[in-house]
Amino acid sequence: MIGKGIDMSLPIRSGLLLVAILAGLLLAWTTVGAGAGFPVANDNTPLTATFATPAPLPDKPAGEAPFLTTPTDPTAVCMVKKIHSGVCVMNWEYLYASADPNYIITMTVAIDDKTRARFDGFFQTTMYVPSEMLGFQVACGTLGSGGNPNLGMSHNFLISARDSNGSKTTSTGSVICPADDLYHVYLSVVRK
Amino acid sequence: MRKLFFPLLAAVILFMAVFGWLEVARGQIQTPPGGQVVLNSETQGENTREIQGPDSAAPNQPLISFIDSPTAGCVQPDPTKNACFINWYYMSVSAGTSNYMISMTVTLNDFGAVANYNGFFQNSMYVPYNMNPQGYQVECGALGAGGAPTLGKSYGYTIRARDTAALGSANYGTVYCPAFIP
Repeated sequence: MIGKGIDMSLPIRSGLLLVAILAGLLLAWTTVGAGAGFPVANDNTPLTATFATPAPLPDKPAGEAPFLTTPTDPTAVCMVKKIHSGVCVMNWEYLYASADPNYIITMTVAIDDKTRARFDGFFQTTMYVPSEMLGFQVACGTLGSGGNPNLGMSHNFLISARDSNGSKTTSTGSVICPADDLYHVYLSVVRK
Repeated sequence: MRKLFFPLLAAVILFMAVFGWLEVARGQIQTPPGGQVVLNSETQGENTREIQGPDSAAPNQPLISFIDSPTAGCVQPDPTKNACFINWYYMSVSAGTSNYMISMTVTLNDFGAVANYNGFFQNSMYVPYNMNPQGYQVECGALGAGGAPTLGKSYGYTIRARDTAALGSANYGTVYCPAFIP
């Protein structure tokens, strides 16, 4: 029984030894192969390899206080686009927000509770939007409809910004437009 | 020897399985078409930017810069129309002092290339928003169409630039549009 037991374990031991040798060879091949797989510059300095799914960059360090500034939106204006069209255009001199040292992720413009523009950041700590990238058509309204007897409708706006630290700030206000109504053309009835 | 057959067979099968797995893993190393490798890559949220170069003679310090393309905007000027406009504050890339910029291309992934800027003996390229003041017209889409419940459709974009040293730079991002609510 004892002799048979020793006799049976020999192939198993041999197999395990073979597996260990093959594993060693495999490890050596992997190491050498990986080294040869990287692009090497002319001076034989290995480059950093980049894989299909690069590890996301860590967010920039958060400060003790929220760094995201309230969106700056000076000189909100509402002007008639075309007289007697009833259509006005709202705009700002510019929009600006800073999240430095974090990244700014988005800035959104909503007018009368409806999102009208969305700006997405791309590896940037501040966001500046000039007036030429803005311009939103709104109804001018009739005289006094916004509370001012000499002007038209009043429109609320909400500008919000969000950064990579999870902070969010908003800026709200309202703009009163000039009054402008559709030009009504009355056709006279001609009896024949 | 017959007793060695099964352990040997098991060892060979194990070896082949591990070898095959390693080949699959190695095949996932990012190699852009055209024999180029990614030399540098950064990801932040839905945005990725990378620099590519030839596999054979990749320089240690690629001279081409990342493309700077801040503030990708989607604006709905007229709420009664399902028409939004995508634009960037600017797009800028530099090839360094010893190379020329060949081109920069803007691609909206749903439509294909929408702009191609060609260099002319220039080391850098700068495209401000007012070179295309209106932007690229797209559908705003219905609420939630792009995955964000309060917004409309989303559009993936790719901006690519290449220089005379066969180096490339690329930005991959997504811009979300306001929803069209009739």
